[in-house]
Amino acid sequence: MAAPVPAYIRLPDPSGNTGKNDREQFRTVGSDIVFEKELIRIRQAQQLGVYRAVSPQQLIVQTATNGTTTGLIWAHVPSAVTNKKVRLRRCFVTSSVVSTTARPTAPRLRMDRMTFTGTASGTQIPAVPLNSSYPSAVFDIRSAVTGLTVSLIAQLGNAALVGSITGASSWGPHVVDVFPAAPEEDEWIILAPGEGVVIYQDTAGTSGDDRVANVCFLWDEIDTA
Amino acid sequence: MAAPVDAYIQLADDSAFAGPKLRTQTRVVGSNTVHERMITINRIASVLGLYEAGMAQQTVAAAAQDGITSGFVWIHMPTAITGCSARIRRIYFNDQHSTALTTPSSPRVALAKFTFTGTATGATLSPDPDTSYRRAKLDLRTASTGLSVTLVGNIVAIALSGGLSAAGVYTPAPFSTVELYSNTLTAPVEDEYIVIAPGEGVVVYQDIGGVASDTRKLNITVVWDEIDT
Repeated sequence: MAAPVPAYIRLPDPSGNTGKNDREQFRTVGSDIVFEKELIRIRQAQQLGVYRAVSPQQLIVQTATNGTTTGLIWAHVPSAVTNKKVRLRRCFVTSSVVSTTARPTAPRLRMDRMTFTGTASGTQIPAVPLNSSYPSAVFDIRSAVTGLTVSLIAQLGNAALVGSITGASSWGPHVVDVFPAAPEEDEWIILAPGEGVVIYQDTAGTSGDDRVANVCFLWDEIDTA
Repeated sequence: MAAPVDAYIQLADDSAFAGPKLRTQTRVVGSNTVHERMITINRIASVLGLYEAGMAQQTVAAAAQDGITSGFVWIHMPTAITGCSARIRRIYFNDQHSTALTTPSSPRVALAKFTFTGTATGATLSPDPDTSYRRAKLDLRTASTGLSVTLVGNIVAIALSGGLSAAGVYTPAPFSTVELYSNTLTAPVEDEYIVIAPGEGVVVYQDIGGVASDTRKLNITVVWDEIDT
């Protein structure tokens, strides 16, 4: 296929038109003044708001957790919500070593889609709207599973944590995605009422493990009426 | 649903037209020369200016800060401003050790939204705008003096580097508290910017303490735009 060639499409003379003004910008290409359409990208879905939340520092545990009765964070759309869905855009974690004891194990955080019954009553992690004009978030993020009966569906992603082989030397902070940022709308994880995600540690840590992790969420909420 | 098929719409012969020229480029697809339109993507909001401000090197605090009276920088839109909001596009920082200090602790830097009353009188942090833009309305202060701050909540938090012994090497890495992509560390899409209306702000603070006499350093930069509301 040959390379593209600069060109233009000539319109009828609009000088007598009295209708609406369709915005363009123009520039000179060669000897021609040509018009370029100005567009605004919008979301395909009817977006109600965009939100972020961050967990309190979470303690890495010696024994693997199962995501249903043990875990770190349960983020869900309550069953009573109607005409709204959540789209998870990104979830990432940073972690730290907090003692000079060797932690030569490879715990990781895993995110699974889940369904549930019941009403959550565990400690809630606040959602912050990125614009104060947005409605309060329906995405309900809890650091305890209390009140929910959880069924895991499938793994969506995972993230390794920082390790300490000898209890010496140094580490740099590292952002690890559990669910990487997806630039395109159709890649986001959609959560309907009755669905959620759970972040849990599916691989054991070290005896007396005291490593910590910080989990961050970015999502939007859409009108599905 | 079937796969899409290459096609075109044939327009009226424009050789006699005397109106504007819609910019295109031509390409040969199959046996047809087709025109492809040129477009530009505009912002939904009306952007008045873009600004960037880097901070003096900060020292990691031994004790946790509260974001209200202790923190690194309060970024706010004064209540007297009208017709304008700011949007935080990116806040990024990197950190480093400055002495041979053992730091087995887990401090983290958090970004929190807040509302406030009062008028700031703390030390200012001036942005470096493109000179074609008007002077920034967003007010950056390295002390919250004069402001009565109410935190709305943490938006994001990032762990810092540490040393389990006063030896070895480390690699500084940039981390963003408002990043979207793990590689570019930016919020590239307009609907993910944090909107700051008059009476609102964000504070960068350390919500978990470091070690006694911590000497780790932080280098923080803020990027934002301001929009006509």
